[in-house]
Amino acid sequence: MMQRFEATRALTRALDNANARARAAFDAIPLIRWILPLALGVVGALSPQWFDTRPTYALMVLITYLLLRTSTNVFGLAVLAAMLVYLPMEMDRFERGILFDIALYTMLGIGLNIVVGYAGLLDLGYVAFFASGAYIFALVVAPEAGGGWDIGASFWLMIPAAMALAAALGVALGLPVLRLRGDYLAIVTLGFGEIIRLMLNNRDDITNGPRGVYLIPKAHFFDKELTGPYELYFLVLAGVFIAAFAAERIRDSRVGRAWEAIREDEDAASAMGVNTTFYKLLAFAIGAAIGGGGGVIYAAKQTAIFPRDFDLDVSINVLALVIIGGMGNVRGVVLGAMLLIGLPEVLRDFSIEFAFIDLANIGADYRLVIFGAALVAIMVLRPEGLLPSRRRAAEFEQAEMLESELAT
Amino acid sequence: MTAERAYLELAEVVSGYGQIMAIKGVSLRVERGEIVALIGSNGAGKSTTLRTISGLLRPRSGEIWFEGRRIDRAPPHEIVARGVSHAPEGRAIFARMTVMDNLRLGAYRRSGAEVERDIEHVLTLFPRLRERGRQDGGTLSGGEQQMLAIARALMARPRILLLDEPSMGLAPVLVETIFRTVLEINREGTTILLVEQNAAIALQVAHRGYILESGAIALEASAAELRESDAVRRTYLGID
Amino acid sequence: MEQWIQLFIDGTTIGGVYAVIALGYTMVYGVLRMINFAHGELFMMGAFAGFYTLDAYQQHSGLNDSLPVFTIASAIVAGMITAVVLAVVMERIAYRPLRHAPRLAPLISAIGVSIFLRNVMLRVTNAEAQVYPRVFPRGAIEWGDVSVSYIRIFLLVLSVFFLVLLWLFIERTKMGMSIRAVAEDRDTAALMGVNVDRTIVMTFVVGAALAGAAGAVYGMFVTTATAGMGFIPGIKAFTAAVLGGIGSVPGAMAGGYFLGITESLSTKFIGAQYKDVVAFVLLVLVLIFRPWGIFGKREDKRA
Ligand SMILES: Nc1ncnc2c1ncn2[C@@H]1O[C@H](COP(=O)(O)OP(=O)(O)OP(=O)(O)O)[C@@H](O)[C@H]1O
Ligand SMILES: [Mg+2]
Repeated sequence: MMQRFEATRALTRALDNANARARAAFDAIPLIRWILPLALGVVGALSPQWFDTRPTYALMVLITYLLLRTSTNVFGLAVLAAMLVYLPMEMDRFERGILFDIALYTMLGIGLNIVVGYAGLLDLGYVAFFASGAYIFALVVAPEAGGGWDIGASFWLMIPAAMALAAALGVALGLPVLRLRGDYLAIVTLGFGEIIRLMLNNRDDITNGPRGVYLIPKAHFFDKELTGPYELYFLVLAGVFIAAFAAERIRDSRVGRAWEAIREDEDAASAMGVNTTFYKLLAFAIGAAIGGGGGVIYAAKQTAIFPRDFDLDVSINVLALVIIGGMGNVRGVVLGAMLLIGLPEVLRDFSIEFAFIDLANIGADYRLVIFGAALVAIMVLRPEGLLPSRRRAAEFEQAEMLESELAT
Repeated sequence: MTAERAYLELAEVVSGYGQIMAIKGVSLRVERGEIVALIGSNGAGKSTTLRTISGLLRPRSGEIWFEGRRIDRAPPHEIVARGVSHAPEGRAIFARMTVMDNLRLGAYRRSGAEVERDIEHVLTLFPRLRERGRQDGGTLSGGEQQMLAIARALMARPRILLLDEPSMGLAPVLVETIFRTVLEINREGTTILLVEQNAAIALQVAHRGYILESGAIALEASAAELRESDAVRRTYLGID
Repeated sequence: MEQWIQLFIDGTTIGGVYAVIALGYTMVYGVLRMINFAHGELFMMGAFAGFYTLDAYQQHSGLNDSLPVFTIASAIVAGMITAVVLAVVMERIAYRPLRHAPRLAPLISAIGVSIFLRNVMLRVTNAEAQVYPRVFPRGAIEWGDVSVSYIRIFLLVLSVFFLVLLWLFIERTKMGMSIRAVAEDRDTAALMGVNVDRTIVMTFVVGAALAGAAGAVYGMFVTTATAGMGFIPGIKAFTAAVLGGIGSVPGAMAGGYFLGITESLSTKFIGAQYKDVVAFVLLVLVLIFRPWGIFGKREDKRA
């Protein structure tokens, strides 16, 4: 009797393992799948010699969206590498700035997605980690004249250091809020985010206050000086790839399954023996580390940072792009960042001039108005996000059918 | 229409939650003035049937008629307005409101001096509630909550009352009190559709009964016949 | 002693504003379990409606009364109407379709509404602060070292007036009862014959009316209206709602005054630049240690 039980268990385990390996192999494909369309979209939108007007961007996003949903292009990686390197060469400074921002926010989105999408912890204070990464880096490397501490560590050393410190901050902020769920967690984290910003502003003995930290020295890659968005774009791109790869791998590991259990039903998970405390803190820590890394790169690019750069809007933007894209998967984050970060910038150049109608500045003037309305529209039309992970989509369908039965 | 509709009639009603079909084509008729018992084991779909009648669930297919009109597409508040009152399973008392406010909510669609008179009336039916008038609903005992739930449902002056397991979790003495009241309410002219686990007592007060098994009607007969039927005796009355 | 009285009065003035706004958050949360992120913008729109009304009066006839009661009243009413209309529209377009969607969808939708309204007003005003005409006579009531300006007295009285009015509405009217019922149990409320959709709209209407009024009066108090002015009072009011136990009406009122007074004291004893920090620290501490609110009773452990 006992032996048969053991045998069944062993078999189940073997099947589980095989299953997991197959899944991991398959899930590597989305990494390729979104790369080509992304490249296409960005090329189309940002290469002035190919397209005159920025509204083409909207079209490109649409195409990207369709491709992201269906395509499984194996040439992707090669094409992508070429595209993503070639692209910014053709761009002016402004466009490179946008490209950099999209990539940066993609990275932040991947980090927050671990917390919100995988572990189901609603975090409205993600900016805290972004800010801490940026400030730790800036204060250490900037000279006293720029409000820094003049310690002068290397950029490359500071990236892991700032990520580790951000992760520690993630654990420190995570610990007291472990018991909280849902909206309450959202509010507390929002409070943390604001407190950090206000402290950066108020403790000018440490942070130089509202004057910010400036004269942040340029980073070097061997002998090459990383001067602006162009060079740092490649760095952030590398960050995106590493973060995306890590995120997908972790999601498919034991850790990812523990997060999923916590997200679905925390009480049940903990009853089943999942150490919820550990896994929640781990989610906070990893998310925070990625946010902190993004902060370092941001500070390096800006060369001057101020407390007001790190307000609630950053948290909201990152959260919004994760949700709009479709929580729980990296492809969604990419699309979300393209829409949320790219679109408002691209809208600047949007104009309507037709017969006697002259709304030449409609884009520049009303871009955030349009943006706000678009957020509402996307949520109403696709409440599960534009590219929900397959699992999420199924869950949602289930819930929706259930709810549609309820007349109230 | 030539087809003769019963006072309350369900025709081939399919309803449920998400992909789960909890009832799969239930047809039943309740005539005016009757007490009809709906009996079935756990998960048979009894509560789902009541929730569908009162509009909390929208049927996937089938029709529900009440007093000659279709009600299966109407929202719950309109169904209430037509005279259907549903005392749901598990009491669902408003815990943060006083007993009096709970009763007034029962009469939400009505107003005026009548309401106060009806409160007086239900308080004579359930004298225990009178002493608890100012207390919050949440502080009542289980039995008192059950009384309040029935009293509240009566406050709507329903023409038909849907009762979901009024005896659940009550001491035998209280069960008797409640069912005596149910009979009294019925004598005053209210039609009653009664869902019960306790088949013995339900078949004592009811005129007719339906047996519901896994979402479909398995048997329909007069209460007396059901009490005598072997199958019912074995499964629902626990007598061999 | 007099210093304390002064701080206390200053705190209650602004606390009353927080309390009035907080009611909207708490009531909407009560019925929908949703944080209406655009609520602060209703306050802001109320302030603008108030400004345009006063401005129109000034352009037409000048404001030469010493205390133009009717003008002030119409500015407040304009604030209320504007906010109410907007709230009804936003509920219908942005929230109702999402009633059964995943929890985060309405949150993002609300953030969208908030961004939309803020930027509409940024365009309309060309990002400039609009300066309110002076409608209240300068001067103050003096009592020893304590000095309370007329507008402060007005603010204080008005907030108490609105709070009492709202309390009567919630506790004594049928509509108020249905709001309480829907907040407690939507399905059972429907079984009582309550029209749930209409009740939810009504909740938005009441909350918006209060926010709009608060906006107009606050505008007169700070004498400007800006597109971004909804943010800080919005978050503070939200904090007040949480302090009082979100979902609780008396809690929101108490939370508003408590926060106002705490801020006023911390301005004095810690430093003005820390008053927002104090508010947020309070928010965080309360949520961690007493998620049901400082004044609330522990009703469930759903936190
Ligand atoms: N909210 C729900 N979501 C999904 N399934 C449900 C839900 N409510 C009930 N069900 C399922 O529908 C079926 C019928 O449930 P219902 O409550 O109607 O049973 P019942 O006959 O009233 O049982 P009981 O005597 O235990 O109250 C059950 O299988 C139940 O699991
Ligand atoms: Mg039942």
